[in-house]
This record gives sequence, structure tokens and C-alpha cells, in this order.
Amino acid sequence: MSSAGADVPLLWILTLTIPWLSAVVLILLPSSMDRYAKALGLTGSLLGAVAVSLSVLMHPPPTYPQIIVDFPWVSDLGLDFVVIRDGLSTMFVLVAAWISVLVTTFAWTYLPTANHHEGAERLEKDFYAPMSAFTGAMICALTSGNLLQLYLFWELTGIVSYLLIGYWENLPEARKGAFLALGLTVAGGVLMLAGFFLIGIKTGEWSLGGLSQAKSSIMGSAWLEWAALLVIVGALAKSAQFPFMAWLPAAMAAPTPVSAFLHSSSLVALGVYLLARLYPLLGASLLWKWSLFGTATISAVYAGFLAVRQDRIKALLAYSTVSQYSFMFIGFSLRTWFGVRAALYAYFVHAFIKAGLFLVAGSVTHLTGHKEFDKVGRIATSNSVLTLYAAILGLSLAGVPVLAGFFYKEEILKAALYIESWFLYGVVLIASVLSFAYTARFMWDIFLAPPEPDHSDRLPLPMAIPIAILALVVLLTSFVPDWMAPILNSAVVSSTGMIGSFETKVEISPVFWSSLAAAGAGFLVWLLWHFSERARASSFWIPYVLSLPASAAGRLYSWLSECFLRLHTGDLRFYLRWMLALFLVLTALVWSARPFSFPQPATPIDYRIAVLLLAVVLTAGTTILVVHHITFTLVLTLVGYGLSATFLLMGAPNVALAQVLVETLITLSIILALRESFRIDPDSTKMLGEKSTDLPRWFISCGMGTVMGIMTYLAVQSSPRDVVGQWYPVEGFTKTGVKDFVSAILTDFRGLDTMVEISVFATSILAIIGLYWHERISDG
Amino acid sequence: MKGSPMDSVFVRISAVMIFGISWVVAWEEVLLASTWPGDSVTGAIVLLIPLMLQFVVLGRKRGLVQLPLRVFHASLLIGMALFVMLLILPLLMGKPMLANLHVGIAGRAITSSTLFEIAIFLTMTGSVVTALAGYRKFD
Repeated sequence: MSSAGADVPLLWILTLTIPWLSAVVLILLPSSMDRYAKALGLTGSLLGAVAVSLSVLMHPPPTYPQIIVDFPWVSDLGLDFVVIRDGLSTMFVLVAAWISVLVTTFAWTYLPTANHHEGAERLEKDFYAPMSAFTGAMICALTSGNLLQLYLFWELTGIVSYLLIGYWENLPEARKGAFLALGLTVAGGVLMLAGFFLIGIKTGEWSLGGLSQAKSSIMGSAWLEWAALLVIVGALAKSAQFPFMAWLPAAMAAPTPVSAFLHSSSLVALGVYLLARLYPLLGASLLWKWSLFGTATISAVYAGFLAVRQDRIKALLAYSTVSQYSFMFIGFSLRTWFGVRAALYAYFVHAFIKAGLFLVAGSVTHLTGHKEFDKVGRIATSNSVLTLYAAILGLSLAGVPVLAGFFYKEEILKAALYIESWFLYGVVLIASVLSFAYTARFMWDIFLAPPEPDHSDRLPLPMAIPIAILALVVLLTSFVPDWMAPILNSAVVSSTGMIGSFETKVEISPVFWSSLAAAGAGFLVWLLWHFSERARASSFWIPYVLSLPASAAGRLYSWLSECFLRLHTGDLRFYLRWMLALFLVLTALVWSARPFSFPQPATPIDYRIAVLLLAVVLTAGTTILVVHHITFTLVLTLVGYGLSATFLLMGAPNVALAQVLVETLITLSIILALRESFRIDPDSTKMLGEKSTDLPRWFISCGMGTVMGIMTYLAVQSSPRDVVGQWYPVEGFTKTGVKDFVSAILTDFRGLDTMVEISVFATSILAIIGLYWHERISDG
Repeated sequence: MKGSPMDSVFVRISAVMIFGISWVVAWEEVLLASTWPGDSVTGAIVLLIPLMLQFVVLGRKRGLVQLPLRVFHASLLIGMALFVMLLILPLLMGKPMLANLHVGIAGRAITSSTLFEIAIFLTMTGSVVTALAGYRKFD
């Protein structure tokens, strides 16, 4: 990598920061000014897209990762905040930025109508803010020059997409879809992180530049296979490939602009980006080849079959996306320059086609109020222009020769043919047959088949213009299929390190004839589906052998769900028993693996401390047996106070004082929470009956107060033991200038720890704010 | 939440006095935290215990009425903003994050660790009060 030096492309930095600024402004926008949210959202996305486009025009992206920002963070660990720019990241950023503009424009008139239709009373800023934040997270992920930084923004896109999928939170399917998407993508992300850690620990490098330099020394290492597998799992989950494809159809409960942006061309594209970015390091491994080979094969064909039989329009497009993205994964599985080029070309063209088709689906719902095929029809009679756009996009997706989609499928076929991978060639052809079939269904059922629409409305301009632009881009690609060659070539070189050129045109060749045959076969398959009721039966439609892996995965999911549900009994004692048992098992395992001996205690343990500790342990053990909620709380309090007394006897009065205070606060908090809970009988929270006198209450209160007073007095009177360590008290002031060395430890010596603790703290606070906000909204 | 049987004039007067004293003690802990062995966490707890006792004695709704909720919400946000600032500002000055910065104001040296302690105090008090206000009877 080389540094940009003084010639830092400001435009690139603006591309990264504008979406975030837009998101912050939208979050802070008062509800009374919600009507300005769409303008702010569109302005932010437009400025970002213009910035990246100008940066490309003025500073064409290099083929190697150019460092734009290098912020020292934890340099000792090789972790810096690095922003890079090269052909690969530029291509993905350009697509994401401009599709963001188009879907934001579409949402201008779509969203208010859709909110009303779905019975959702949501502010529009609650849509545009996460959209902007997602764009920012996506661009930051694409420009990260460091594995952990990439992971951070990778998961951030998943978290923000959870908010977007669940935008219509009144719909159960939206909440369910949001959870499923988050769960599956995060699960894959965690495994991907494990792969990143394996790479980072084994090489000592976290930056992409450092890894590319270390590449030659690590090639052929056994651990590289496992790293490749773990990274691929992350990519599979993000791109909704088998066995993670369930989340994408479920996410179709999101508003159409979200589906058009995230679920066709950006969020799911991150998997493709990851494979392209790490291809030089991991592409040579066998597990890379076979895992991509297997999963992409199943995804391509199984998703294609499923797409044909969907009853909901967006679900068909979702399965179509799974199938089309499997073409890109097939390209990477070939492990050739041609395969990578074909995959990246497919991503670029497919992004515009699929975004356009999702917007068409949203338009159809807007015009008819329906989302199912059997409730819409003959749109062509009332909206001929929309039909024309849909035809351009649909026929391209179907792979009709000389339209855009045909060219990227041809490239994948040629790449498979190049290494004589006949099996994959056949898989792509079968998937192409199915893509024609489901696209034919899409076009026929919506635009030509009955029923007649109830009324004919014109599509509003903010909705029509983005579709028109996408259709035009696809049409341009049909006539000049390699118009994006400069960007694509740069991206391919950035990924593979090998220079080549991209040129494609219609060539009468065996590949052309097989593509044509696939289109014809697809037409026949559609006819069979359309006219034969027997063919529509699932047992006929989906070949048994193909459904085996999917049903096995489904049974595994069900079994795991049942296991987890059985663990959620709602009984605290049950949870405590499990936690204690697991703790003992883990301790025993660690001890058996690495036996350790207890060190000599720094302070002499006298019998008082031993007895007190034993009492604390026994008291903690009784929590498993206690039933009454208040009793349970008080037992926990006794444990805390017992520990505090132990600290006092050990000569740590300040810790003892802090423990007493914290314990008291927690006790009060739990009691307050218990009294507010409907699930707990209010009478059960009273330890003393209504008819009892005040005497027991006075006794308990005075007793508690006396005990705390005595402990506090003892703490103040006791003298601390000898200092355990001298380094921090001495060095704290010398190195930091802060008199209180505890503060110096928190901020200067252990800053990374403190940052993690602040993150945990901030997460809890977000939950608290959510609790409060929920209560406020519920109260109206 | 029903009013507590402990609600009486004597209890309310005591609560106000204790609350007032706890404010003083709390801020003393916070402001001295970076120079003497004070502790902003302790200061926050010293303030919050009497606050919670008020909730127990007066009941949740009544306790909420007396609280300046907006002040505590603002303190939560200010505290979090201070954390972010203390994370980022040293980085912008070429130092590790959270590193202490020394600023001279009116002839006195102020360290950013004082701000750190204030941030802890504001965030803790703000978050606990927000949580208290968020307790409700969920179905």
C-alpha cells in the first residue's frame, strides 16, 4: 500500500462522512419537522453519490489499495483506523451510493402511502435516518483497511438493517423477519470474526496491506483452510446463500425501498465483496473451492425452484436474488481470474436489474394495494410505461440473449468452460432455465394475466423516475455491455492482482447456443408451471434429492429451537442451577487441561475471613432453593454485604464501602422493579401482612440501618493493609500528571479496557432508553 | 404503584434533608475524584440511594412527579457525549484514546480525568433515573 500523502482525496472522505452526518441530523430532527425528513435524506444520499462520482472522475481509483486515512488507534497491536480506496471498493461504493439515491427518491411518495396501507404510524425520519446510517456503514465497510474495522462495520450494517426490516413494527412478520435476518447474519459474522482472529493471530497482521505482503509466507499453511471456511460462512450468511437463505424472503416484510437497496444490491453484496477482497489470501485453499462449490450449487438450483412457486411478488424476487448471487459465488469457486471477473461483472449488472425489479414490485403494490400474484393483473392495460420498464428489467434477469442479464450469465458460463468445469456449467444452465421461468411468471401474472385492476392510477413521478433510470442503465448495458470496463478492470485487478481487460459482446458460440437453449427451456418450464396443476404440487416441483439438504437444515433448526425453548423456563432457580453447573464443569475442564496451583495469598487469611467466605458461599447456594422473590433479593443482598465484610477484614475499606453502597442500590432497584411487574402477585412482594403492626418494619429498618452504620464506621476506622503494588501509585502521577492513580489507570494505562467497558455500559443504556421510550409511547 | 404505608410528614421531611445532603456529598466525590481518592461511582450511588428510597416511600408515580426528569435525561446524554469526546479528542491530538489532557483555565490546571469522572456520574444518575421512570406494569 502507499500513502496518499498530501493529496488526500477530500471527496472520498466526504463520501464516507456525509451519510453519517445525514443520519445524525435526521435522528435529532424534531418530530414536528418530520415533513423535512425526506428532503434531508435525499440530499444526504445525493451529496454522497456525487462526492464518490467526482472522486472517480478526478482521481481514478488505483488498482492497489491507496491509504486515504490512517488513524493510530492501538498501534501496538497493529490496529489502526484505516480507510482505503481502490478499484474494488470504488465499484461497490458507486453502486451502493447511486442505488441509495434512487430508492430514496422512490420512497418520497411510496412511504406515506405504504405507511397508511400497513396501518403503521411511523415517523418518516425513522426510515430515512437508518437508511442514511446504513449507507454510511456500508461505505465504511467497503473502505475498511483493517480486518477488525471491516468486521465492526459489517455487523453495523446488520444492526441497522434490523431497524429497517422492522420499520413496520406493528406487523408480526416484520418483527420476525428482522430478528431472523439479524440472528442469521450475526451468527455468520461471529464465525467470520473467528476466521479474522485466526488470520490476525497467525500472521500478526490485521491490515489488508500487511496481509498482502505476508501472503507469500503463509501460503499452504493448514490453518489457512480453516480461516477460509470461517470467512466463507460469514459471506454465505450475509449473501443469504444456503444454508442461511431463510432470512432473505423473511426480510421482504420491509418497505420496498429497503428491499431494493439492502436486499438486492448492498447488504447481500457484502458477501461478494468479502470474497473478492480476501481472494488473494484465501482463494488457493481447497476448502474455499469446495465449500463455495457445494453451497452455491444448492443455492442456485434450490432457490430457483422455490422462486417459481412463490405466491408473493417480493418473495419471488428474494429467492431470485439468492439464486443470482450463487452465480457470483460459483465464479469465486472457480478460483480463476475469469471467474472473479465474471462474479464482479454479475454483481454490477444484477444490482441495477434487481433494484429496478423490486421498485416495480413496490409500484405494483402501490397501484393495487396487493402483494400477491393472484390479486394483481393486467397492469399493462393501465400502466404501459411501467410495463415497458419491467419488461426491460425482467427480460434481462431472465437472460434473454443480447439483454444485460444474458451477458453476465455468459461470462459465468465462459469462466466455467475455461477450466472445463462441466458440472458447474450445468448448474448455471439449470439455474438460468429457472430464472427464465420465474421471470416469465413475474411478468405474466402481474402485467398480462387477469384479474383486471380495480382502478387505473398513474405512477407518481418520484416512483417512476428511479425505475426509468435503472431500466435505462440496464438497456445501456444491453447495447454496450462493457461500458463499465474501466471500473470493472480496476476492481478485478484490485482483487486478483492480475491485469487484464474486459470486453464482451455477442458471439455465436456453443455458450451462446446453450444460453439460448436455457431461455427456451425456461419458457417451456414456465408453460408447464402455468398450465399444469400437477406440476405446481410441491412434491413434483421440487425434486426430492434437492430438497434433502434444505429439509435436513430445517430439521436441525427446529431441533435447536426446541432445545433453546426448553431452556427458557422463566424460572430463575433453573437458570442459576445451569449457570452454576456449567461454571463448575468449565472450571474442571480448564483445571484438567492446565493444572494450576493457588498462589500464596498476599494477606494472611485468618479464621474470621475463612468463616465469612464460607457463609457467603453457602448463602449464595441457597439462592437456588429460594422461591419467594423478596426473600431471593434479600439473600442476594446478604451475599453482597458478606463480601463487603470480607473486604473490610482484608484491609480494603474503600472497596468494602463501595460494595455496601452498590449492593444497597441494587437491592432497592430490584424491589422497585418487582413491585412494578404484573407477572408477580403484588401480595407476594409483601413479607409482612397488611394487618401486622409497624413494629416489625421498624425493627427491620433500624436493624439494617444499624448494621450499615456499624460497617461504615468500621470501614472508616480501619487502616488499610500494606500497599499491594507500588508501580501505579508511583508511575501514575509521573507519567500522567493525575494525582488519583485509579483515574490514571482507567484513562491512561488501561484505556482499551475502559473503552470496552464504556461500550458495554452504552449498550445497557440503549436498552434502558428503549425501555423508557417504550413506556412513553405506550402511555401515548 | 400504591402509596407506601411509610409515607408520612416525618418521612418526607427526612427524605428531603437526606436528599439535599447526598447531593453535596455526591458532587464532592465527583469533583475530587481525579485528585484525591474520591470516586464518581460512589458519588452517583450516594445520590441514587436516597432517590430510590423516595420511590419506595412515596410510590413510583409520586416519586416521578417530584423528579426533574428532563434534567436527568439531559445528564445522561451529556455524560455519553463526554465519553465520546474523551475517546476522540486525544486521538485528534495524536495521543491514545482516553489519554489525559491537561488544560489551564484561569491559572488552574484541569485534567480531562475530571471530565471523565463527571461523565461517569452524569451517565450513572441519568441512566438509573431513566430506568426508574421506565418501570411500568407490562402485560
